[in-house]
Amino acid sequence: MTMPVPSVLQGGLERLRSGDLPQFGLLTLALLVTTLVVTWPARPGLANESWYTVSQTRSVLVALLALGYGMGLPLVSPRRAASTALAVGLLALTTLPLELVAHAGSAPATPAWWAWLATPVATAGHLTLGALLGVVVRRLRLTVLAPLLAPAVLAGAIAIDVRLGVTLLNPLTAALQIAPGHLAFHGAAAVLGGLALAWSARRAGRARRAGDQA
Amino acid sequence: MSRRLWLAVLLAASLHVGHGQGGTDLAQVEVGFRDTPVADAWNPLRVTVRDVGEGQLTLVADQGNLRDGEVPWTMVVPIPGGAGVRVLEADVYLPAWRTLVWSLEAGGAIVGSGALPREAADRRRLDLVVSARPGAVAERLAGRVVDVPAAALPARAAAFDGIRSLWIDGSGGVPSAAALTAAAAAGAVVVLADEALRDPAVADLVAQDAAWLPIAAGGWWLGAPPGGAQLEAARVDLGAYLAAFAAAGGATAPRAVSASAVLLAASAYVLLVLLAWRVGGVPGLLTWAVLLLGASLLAWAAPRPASPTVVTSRALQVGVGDLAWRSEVHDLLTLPAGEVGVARVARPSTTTAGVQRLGSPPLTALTLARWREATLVEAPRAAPALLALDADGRPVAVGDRVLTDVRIVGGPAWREVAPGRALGAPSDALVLGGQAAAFEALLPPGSAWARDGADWHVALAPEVRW
Repeated sequence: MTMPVPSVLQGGLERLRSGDLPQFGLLTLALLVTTLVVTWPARPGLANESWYTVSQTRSVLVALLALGYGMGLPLVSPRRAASTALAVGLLALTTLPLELVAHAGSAPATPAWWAWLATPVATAGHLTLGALLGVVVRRLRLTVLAPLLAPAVLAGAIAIDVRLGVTLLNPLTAALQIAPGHLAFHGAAAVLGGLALAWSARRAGRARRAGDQA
Repeated sequence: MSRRLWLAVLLAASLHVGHGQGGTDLAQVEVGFRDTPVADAWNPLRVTVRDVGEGQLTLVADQGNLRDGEVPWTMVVPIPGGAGVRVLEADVYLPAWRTLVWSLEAGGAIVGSGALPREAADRRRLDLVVSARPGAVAERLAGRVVDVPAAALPARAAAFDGIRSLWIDGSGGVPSAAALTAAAAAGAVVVLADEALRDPAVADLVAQDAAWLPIAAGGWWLGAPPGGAQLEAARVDLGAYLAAFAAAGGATAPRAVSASAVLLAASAYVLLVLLAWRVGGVPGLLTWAVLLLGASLLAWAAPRPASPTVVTSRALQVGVGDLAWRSEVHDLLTLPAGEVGVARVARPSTTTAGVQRLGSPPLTALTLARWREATLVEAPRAAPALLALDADGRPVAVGDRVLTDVRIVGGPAWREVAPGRALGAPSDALVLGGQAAAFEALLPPGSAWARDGADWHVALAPEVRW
């Protein structure tokens, strides 16, 4: 690897400090807080159903964020891409306590650890899928449609899952139940994305060294 | 076929029949009086086993329907094993079943099994007759009349839950005084002919000379034999009382964190996270990590109640004089889905899947969805009354408890009645809640009722109820 980890971490923290990511992060967190408070029972004695809405909202928002930022990854340097991916991952983790409070109040059958396991894996998977989408969009010269494609791809993924009756791509159903298929699919995508990033970083390093020698 | 082969076949067949008969004799199960159960009621259960090891009897009543599918109510009765004949008597609650099957397992093998047909799930109460001539009663009542030997009557009130009347004419012997009292306490009208009154034990029970002597929820009938309509009129509808009582309470959900507190805490968390990101670098990262961990711990602990299930218990007593019919009610509320129960022998107040396990300790458990309430009702029993009516029809506390919110149905009310203390002046009419008013509407005029905490005590008016 040509990129030392501390510098990627530093880059990720820098992405969260300034630019558009903190704004989207604030928007995501504000939407989640609003969802949590609106669905929280208004008076004692009412059943707490907040988790079902909060977990699905959180899952979709994080997926949209990862897909959207993933589309931009092929356009930037490997170091910048890794920093952005890390920042999106940290943002995804930041949303977890908001789901946890709803989980503790609602007492659903799904264990609380599922969100902590699925979120990093699914976020990395969505970043990879977004990057793949970005490459395709660039090749087809459809960059103008990029803002619409992330929600469209997500809607398509949900439709495919509903059609097939499985939980592989659908973040709505994967948020509510343990879905090994969802985890495996996004885990595989994440590994492929990581390998692609490492390969492009290595190639960029070689090119830089060749340029220095020349 | 050769003669030798025929002999071998006959020998094998006779051995098979012998084994089959031995198998049937190992265990006998009788549900209800003379195998006549009453649906939606507690029924006596008699299990007789011969030379089998320790085991358990399992009865499964499916209460389901086409819409809901199977709703099994499972009853598990531990059976003592050993050499010789062993008899176990208990009371089990039988809901109105679609199928009812039982199997007795001992020593790792099934030693008996059987089923009750759907047609046997009859809710109509039984009229028990202890007589050498039970046909006369059957002709008079035209109901579900079952003749039973005097010695077969148990001294448990729960066994008489599904009994409308018990007829003793003396010709078939006289049951024990304890069995007669249990029947009357459970609400049965015990019809005693003159010949039965010659028995000293029965004569002791019925000291007064009157045609109708109510005790607890039932009473002694000494006049001309009643008809079916008179029996229905004399019967106290304990099921309706219990349903109204059960509806008047319920488990209270643990106090939840308010929405404003959630808003405040969540907003503070978001702002602090943004601030940590703004700081950046290692301090920002560490602050973010601490915030994530702290917020997660707080989020996990704060909205979670001390116990995910809430169980509250209360009792209803209905009596006349110093004896009462008593049933305890347990209200359950569970936040997560799962099996919730109490260490008592009880039945659910509504159609629910569950398990009732007799033995020591007993257990009744229901399988409930999340945030679901359920009510379990214990088997009724006879108990000393705490509230009675004096000769003037005024309430008196006959136990050792101070009773509050004392009311005469259709009459005055008092704040409290204490044992051994004169009743004060009536207070202003206490305002009743909807469920309590519905309960009071079921009681006959002149009856008194009062509270002891969550328990309710009823002293029925002793007047003839027909």
